[in-house]
Amino acid sequence: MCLPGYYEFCCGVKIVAGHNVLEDIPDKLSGLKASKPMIITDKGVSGAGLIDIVSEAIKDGVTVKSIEDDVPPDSDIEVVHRLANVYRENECDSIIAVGGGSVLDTAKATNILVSENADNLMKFAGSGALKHPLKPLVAIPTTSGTGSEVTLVAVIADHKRDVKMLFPSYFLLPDIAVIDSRMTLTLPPHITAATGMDALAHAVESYTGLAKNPLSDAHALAAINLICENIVNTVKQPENPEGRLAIAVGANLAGIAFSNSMVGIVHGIGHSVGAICGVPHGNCMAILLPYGLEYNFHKNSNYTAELLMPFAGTRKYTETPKHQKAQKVISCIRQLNQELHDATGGKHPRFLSEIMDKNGNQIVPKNKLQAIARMSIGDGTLIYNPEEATYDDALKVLQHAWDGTALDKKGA
Amino acid sequence: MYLPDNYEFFCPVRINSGQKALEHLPFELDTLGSKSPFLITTKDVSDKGFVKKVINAFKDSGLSICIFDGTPKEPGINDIKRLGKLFNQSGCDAIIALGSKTLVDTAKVLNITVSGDLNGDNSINTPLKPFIFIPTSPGNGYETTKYAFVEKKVFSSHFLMPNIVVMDPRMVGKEEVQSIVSGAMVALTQSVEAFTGSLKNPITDSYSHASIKTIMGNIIGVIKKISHRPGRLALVNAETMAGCAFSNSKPGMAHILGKKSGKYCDLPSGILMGILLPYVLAHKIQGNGDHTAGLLLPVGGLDLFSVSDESIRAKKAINILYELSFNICDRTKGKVPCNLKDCGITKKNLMDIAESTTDQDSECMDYLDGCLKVLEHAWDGTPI
Repeated sequence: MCLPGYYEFCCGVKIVAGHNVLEDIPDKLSGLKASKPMIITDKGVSGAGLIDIVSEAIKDGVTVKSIEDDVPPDSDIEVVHRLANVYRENECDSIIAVGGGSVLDTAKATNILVSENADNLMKFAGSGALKHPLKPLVAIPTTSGTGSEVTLVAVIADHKRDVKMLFPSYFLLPDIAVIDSRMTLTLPPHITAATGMDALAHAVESYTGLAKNPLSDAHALAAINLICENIVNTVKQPENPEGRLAIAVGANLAGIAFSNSMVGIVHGIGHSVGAICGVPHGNCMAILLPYGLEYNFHKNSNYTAELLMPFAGTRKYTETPKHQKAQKVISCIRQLNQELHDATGGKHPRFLSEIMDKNGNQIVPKNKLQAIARMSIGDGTLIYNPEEATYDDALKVLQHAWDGTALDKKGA
Repeated sequence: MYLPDNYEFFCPVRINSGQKALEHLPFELDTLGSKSPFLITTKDVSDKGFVKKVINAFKDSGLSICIFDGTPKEPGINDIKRLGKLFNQSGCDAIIALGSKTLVDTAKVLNITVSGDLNGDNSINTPLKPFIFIPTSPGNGYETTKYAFVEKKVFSSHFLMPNIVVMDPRMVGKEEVQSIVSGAMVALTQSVEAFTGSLKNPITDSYSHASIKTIMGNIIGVIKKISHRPGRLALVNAETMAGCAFSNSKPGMAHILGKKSGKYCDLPSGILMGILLPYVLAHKIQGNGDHTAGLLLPVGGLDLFSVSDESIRAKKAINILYELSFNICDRTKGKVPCNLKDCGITKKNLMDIAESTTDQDSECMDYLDGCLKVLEHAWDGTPI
């Protein structure tokens, strides 16, 4: 068994997972010499009562100096600047982030400013800008999920200039990630489905991509096992804490995997669908995942084939002839999307033309596909995709993902 | 898939492995805020030319590196304090350990000395100076763990773990077969016992899975052809991964009995752990075989796992490990024995070994009878 010619692997975040683990936070913060946190979250999380649960769990061990719940769905640089000021005014010594990817990214970016004693986040964009550890940061994900609690990147939008900035640094990693089943118990079924498929896409792209390594592979496999075993049941029985914990842990493991081996064309095109049409990221991932595997088929179908057991079980794995295993995995993903579509009363879309807004209008009209394809080929994730992609390739993938027809693997 | 009700995992170790990994060193030191590292090693490592290779990696970096290659094999606390003085006088700000085994214990305790107070209560609760480990040979299984051992004292803290482990194929020297097998078997034991133990969680399982798979995929190949560098590098990787899992688990019966047995013969304790491992597993599944069944996947591979009924997976995994032990013995022409008797341990020693383990803080430390049963079967090589 060969190792890659060169690889790196690290997850320096302390992971605490379980059904009642929020209560450990004061002790963990005390180990980092902190006791006056600022909580950063959004209105959805606070409206769902999750901040009350967190506050109750930690009240005896720390003094929460401020709770800020105005993080927008798309993290914003002005909000980051404002939060840094709130942190300083309240003389906080740590940050607790409670939310999805946008909240976690906002908290990471805020941490840059308060730790570097700076006012302008722009100074720290790009690699190598940070040289020292930041203030203590606790990340509590409330979706399952983006895996942002274990990634070293923050993505922050500058809406005035209409750009998204990347802040990559080991120093951005949270000190502690707390995966508590109570935090996703009230996640609506269609968001559970979307965020679960986002996590699945992380794990699958990590396992089948160019930068895979033995450790990222092991984490990805465990993630796929947990998510496949639990996602449909949890969508159908959302109040089951065992299922919730399983998917949240799966998302965490998938985050560790892809953070160390990157992602590929599914994210490359998915980012652009989200940017241009406003489609939630998880929906983009769910729809595009089978297409990404079809597109890369002739380069990595041997790796895709190895995923048949976690997707379909040992019996299906042994019954399926070797040359059909990879295609079977792709069918399983489409079938999973179908089951989630059924279990969410149609809210989980199976293809791009099916995605509707509240008024029943198509969010991804066919005439937008060209613009999406143009944007996709500039996405950095394509560097790690096993196959190169041109504008024509991306457009072809999008056309098939739009009407839900399978991609011809030979033509890809 | 098994998921505990709650768990905690922490491994701050960054792994850099492969071609030209050494050349990343100046950059990595910069990310750790270091401009002036202190490299400690031993004369034999230096004589093999490894220090020169490290110096070459630094030559265009603008950093100054202080090198000490006179580290004794079993230094005492006072030796380490003297090293600490040298560190401070040289104005150094990071430690690089080049070597393996006790050299790394020395580096870890040196780090305590130069970062704070060594005379305290042995508790280490704050980050130490940056610490980079460059293995040059198979180890004793503790290098990347949270433990350090000096003068029979045990230091334990996650802050002792290396920030970065740099594994470069040019630096993994050719060792003789007993050393290679011992290093691999310590790692296999650590991984398997973390995977089947009561503290298992999905992340320790991931590190264990990767380690076991890497060992099973490379150990025989390396024994057949010791000059095969990628294979040797792979085994060193497996040791690192196992250390990460071990630091989040507890020593198991094979680990402890192996260490204790090592006092009664001249072989490195890793070889004894490797012999004992399948017997320990066979004994444990007579009680509860759940976690051992899952072992068949990294030990036997995907195809074998998928065709094996759940009820026989544990036994299959154990049989593969028995066969591995016999295979290694054959290929090394007995240099690595496959039973305790051929290691030079007498039957009388077995009771002493069993009795010496009862006060250990470990996993599943059976009654005396259980230990003795495992030892007796491993002594004459009859599977349980």
